[in-house]
Amino acid sequence: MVPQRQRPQRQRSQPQQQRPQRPQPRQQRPQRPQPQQQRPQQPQPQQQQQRPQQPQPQQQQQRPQQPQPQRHRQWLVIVGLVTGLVVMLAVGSVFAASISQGPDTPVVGDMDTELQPPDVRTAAEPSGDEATSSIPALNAAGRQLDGMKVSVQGEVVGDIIKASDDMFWLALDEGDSSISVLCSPSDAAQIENLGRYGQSGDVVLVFGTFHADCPDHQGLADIHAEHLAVVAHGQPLYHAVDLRLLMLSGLLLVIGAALMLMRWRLMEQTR
Amino acid sequence: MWPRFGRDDLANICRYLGILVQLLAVLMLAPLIVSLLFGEFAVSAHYLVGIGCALAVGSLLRLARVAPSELKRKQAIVVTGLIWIVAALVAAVPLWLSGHFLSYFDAFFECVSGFTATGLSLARNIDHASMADNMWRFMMQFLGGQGVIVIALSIGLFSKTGSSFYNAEGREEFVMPYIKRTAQFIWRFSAVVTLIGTSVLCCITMILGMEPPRALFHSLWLTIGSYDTGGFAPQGLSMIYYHSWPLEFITMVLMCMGAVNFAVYARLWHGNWKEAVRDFFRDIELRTLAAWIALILVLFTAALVAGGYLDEMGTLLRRGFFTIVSAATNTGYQLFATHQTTSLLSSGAFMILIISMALGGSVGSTAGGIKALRVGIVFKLVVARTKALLSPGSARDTTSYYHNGRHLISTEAANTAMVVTLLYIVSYLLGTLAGIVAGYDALPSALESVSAASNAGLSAGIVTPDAPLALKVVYVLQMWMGRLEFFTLLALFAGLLASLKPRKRRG
Repeated sequence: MVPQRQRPQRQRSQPQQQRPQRPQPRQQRPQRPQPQQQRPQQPQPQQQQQRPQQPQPQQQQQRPQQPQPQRHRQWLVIVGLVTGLVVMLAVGSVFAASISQGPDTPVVGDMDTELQPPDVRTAAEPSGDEATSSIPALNAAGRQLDGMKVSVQGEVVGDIIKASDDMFWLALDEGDSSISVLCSPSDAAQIENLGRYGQSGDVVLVFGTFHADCPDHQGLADIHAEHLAVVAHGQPLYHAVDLRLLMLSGLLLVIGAALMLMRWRLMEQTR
Repeated sequence: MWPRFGRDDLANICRYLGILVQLLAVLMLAPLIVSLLFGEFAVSAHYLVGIGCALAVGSLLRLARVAPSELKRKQAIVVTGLIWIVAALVAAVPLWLSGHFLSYFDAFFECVSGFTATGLSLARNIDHASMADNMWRFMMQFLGGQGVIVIALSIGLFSKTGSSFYNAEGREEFVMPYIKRTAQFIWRFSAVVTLIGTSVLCCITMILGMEPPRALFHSLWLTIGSYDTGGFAPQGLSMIYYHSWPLEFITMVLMCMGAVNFAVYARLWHGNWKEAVRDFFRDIELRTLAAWIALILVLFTAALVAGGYLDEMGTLLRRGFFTIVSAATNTGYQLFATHQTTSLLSSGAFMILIISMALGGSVGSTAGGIKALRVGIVFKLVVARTKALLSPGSARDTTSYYHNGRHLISTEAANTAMVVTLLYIVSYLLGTLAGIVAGYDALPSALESVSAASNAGLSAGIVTPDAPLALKVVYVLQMWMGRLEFFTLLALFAGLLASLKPRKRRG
């Protein structure tokens, strides 16, 4: 992370100040600016660099007295790096500590609305022999429930997709499990809210035939709905703008801009 | 002696990583704009934080070396290797803030999966994800599919040292004479395909009844996911959600296009249609790919029929074909639900699905995996060696193949093909063992491992938020190594280890 102390490019631009330990070529250079080009056999600055530098007590004494922009620049870089890191770590840790309830928790618009699915037994149409199942259980059962009548409850999400002129597809969600439901236009018309960002979808109870490998839809796992009832209407989910995040972003942008400015200033000095 | 990284190397590496991270800040403006357009102001704050992080981290890294300096080859390898992880760490910030991930690591996993165009996802409740978050997920796939470095090169960054970067990113062939023109061609061609694909899919999704803004964005995302062989989906049901065979057909075409070498498109782009069509049928890579898909399709169909489930003609034509194309091109879109894959497919069909992902697409395409060219070369070598055994001792036969011109199979090409193939197989096996050790069945473990290492993205249900952390780390490593085709990362690790080892003192 720390840049090298001696860089050939910079040495070329400021040869007199950077090489106090080699007085002879330095003193000669301003008096004879052209001979270097005429005599390529002379040692170049890079070649000089490769020479073992012997300690010279006189030069060491002179060092602190001379202006050293390169050292100054290095210190600036180091201070910038450390300050930036410390500030970012401090801000990050304070922010992480302040988030105790997890990031972005939506709030249901109408708190009186019961989004918890009601008891299936009470809400179900009287039908008798259908298997009541959750969507994850239905997916896990696979072959066992293939072709059986089931009742499933879940949130309608996404869009209502047209299957044909007289049928529609719904995507029914429960947790992270989903299943496709084929329903009639009248059933689809009951749905007012579709689950998306900022909106919870209607919770519906579906009675129908489950197909693990539907013969009518090229092997799709689906439910052909015979009856559909909305048991809870969806509500807007308010995602409040977190002021802490806005402050954090402002601070980070300022730090980023300051570091960029600092880098720009250092580059200017180099030139 | 292994080359070591000195202080100067590290400073230069940090500087270039900083430039790329700052590029990420610019790219995050896209989801920010989408969030503002759709009134998702809470999400806008997430992306402002993301932009701030990218800017601050990028600026900090760039301070390590103020004066511009040329990047050496070994430094370029490290930058290319690390950028996928550094970028994912920064890109994960807004996704983590979205609340769709259990932990920061899960969001990081999602970003690695996105940048490597894999498509494995740990997102929860994705059906309620914001438009901006989905935009960012798919943008990552676009960047990863095209190549982060390609994007940087096409806008003029790293023009002097582009060649080292380009090779280190797992690309071997130059489509155009110059590196910048190659990158710009890839970018332009992909933009045109994305535009056309989005337009066609938008018409289909609107006919399906989706509202125009949602139809437009879903079409854009599906195009990116298919063409960049990424495999993310904006809905939990993946491609099943749309229930439309025309849409599936278009995405299949896009997947196949994504798996084809950009050099083929370059010839088409410049009007050499006759030559391009002739080359198309002669190219060893495309022949191998076509033969592979045909073979796998026949085997998969036979296994399904023997299994007794999902064996009707309609199922085979629609879902079977789509699944094999998706797996063979390393896209990872599913038309079978995950539970169908695990409970209805016979073990034979399951095994064939695993094998179908292993090969991957073309060299110089958006697809991952071993690559068809290497498998084609290995196959040619096997044939040549067999032929040599039967020939008289004095006979000398040379083996050649057609790929952007006729080439003799050199020892170097043969060695590279063999070693990369071997590394992929070792990675597949190690990942499978990791899954087994974590307590999962062997076949699902194998599917998940091959899917991660070949950047395919099909899942048998192991990659979930509840999976063990160690296993998620293994899959992250597999996705990372698979995308860079191992050598870049092996060189990176070897160089770092050599640098950590203290120097021997003379005398």
